[in-house]
Amino acid sequence: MKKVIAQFLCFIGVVVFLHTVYSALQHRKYLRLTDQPFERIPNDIVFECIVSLVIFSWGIINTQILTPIKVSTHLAKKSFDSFAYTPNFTVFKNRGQYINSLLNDN
Amino acid sequence: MTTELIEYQSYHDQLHKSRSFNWVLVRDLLRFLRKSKFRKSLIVSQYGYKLVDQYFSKLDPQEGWDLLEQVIVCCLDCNQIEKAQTLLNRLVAKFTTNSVRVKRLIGMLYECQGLIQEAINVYQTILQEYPSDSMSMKRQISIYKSQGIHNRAIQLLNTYLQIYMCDFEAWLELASIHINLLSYKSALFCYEEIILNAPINYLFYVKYAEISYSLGGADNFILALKYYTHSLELNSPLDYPEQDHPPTNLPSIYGIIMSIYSFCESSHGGVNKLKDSQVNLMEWAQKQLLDITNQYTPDKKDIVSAFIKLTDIPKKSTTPKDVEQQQPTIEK
Repeated sequence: MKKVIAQFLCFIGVVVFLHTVYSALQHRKYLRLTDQPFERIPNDIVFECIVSLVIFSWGIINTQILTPIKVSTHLAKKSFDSFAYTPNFTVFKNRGQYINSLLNDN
Repeated sequence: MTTELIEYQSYHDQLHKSRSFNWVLVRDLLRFLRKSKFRKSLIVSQYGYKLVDQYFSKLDPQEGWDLLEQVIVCCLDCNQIEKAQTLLNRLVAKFTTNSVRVKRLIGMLYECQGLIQEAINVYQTILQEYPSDSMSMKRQISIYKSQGIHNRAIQLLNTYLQIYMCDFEAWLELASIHINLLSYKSALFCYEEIILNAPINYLFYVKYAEISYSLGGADNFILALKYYTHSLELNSPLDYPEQDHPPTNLPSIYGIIMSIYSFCESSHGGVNKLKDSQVNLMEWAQKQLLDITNQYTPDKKDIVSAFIKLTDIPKKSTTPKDVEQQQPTIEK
């Protein structure tokens, strides 16, 4: 349930952010038409931008289970089998020769 | 997160489920086996042979030859000499016998046929040409090992390791020969070197602890306990609470219980010599073991609780003070 809400908030965050971009462009266009110099973005647009950032970051953190930051995480899925066998030192005088003849007989 | 064993199992199941020959799946399996270094020679020699025999043109050319080498070694491991011979002929036709890798494979084929002297000759000609060819040196060592001349193998490995000190596979091999000869002290030294090479790999700590436990004696039990706890610190079941398979580091939880129990039983040890933190650690390990069993394999609960009951230590004569402590602590 929390995941769905988080995804929804992500979406809202993106939409609000796009709206800020659009309003900033609109504002510039208005200034150009009325021949005023462009000095700063109005406060309400800045506020909207920050709100969208907060909403979006809360959402993105909660949409997935984060993997722990630990150096040994990738080694935790190794098992003993991968270190019990040293391929460069294989010995061919093993049970293979007997088992193989049995397998071929059947 | 899945472990490599589960990943292999899923490949295995898919292979047996698919009715027609799925060459993409087999290629991925061979890639996975090369990466994870599992020894599954029979499967590789069955499916891999068919892959390189019939679908070779579909493979990426650079990878194809690597696959061919992999399949040849696995065929030799299963003693399927005819298959290996036919594949090797293709390699010889492509790269001629001047290539060192092909020469080495010819040597391996001789080894498999039991023609040891010919194999040694092959490796020696390679070494005369390229004295730093470490793979051929390793082959010579494994010939001595297969002949049962362990002393000579150890001697050669030692000289090899003086040159290539960072080769931890060679250290592993030396350790396993020492373990076969029951000289645990030397094996312990080899594992120290391996741990220096890969200090964040929990498996080597578990191995070190197991060897130290096998040596026996009160001091070695405590040493084993320290290494078991350190491996738990690197790979703890508490790090991954929500997963669908049991945690991978169960051996060290069992190891903690066993080494504390054996310490109490040994002549120089005893319950009263245990520190409070070690008693707490024992309680923590028992609780963890029961929790994990309840969560993943409830049908084995009887066996596990019988084990815990059997290895339980008696209460200390002075009562432990800080029982609230849950996490394992490490004394160094």
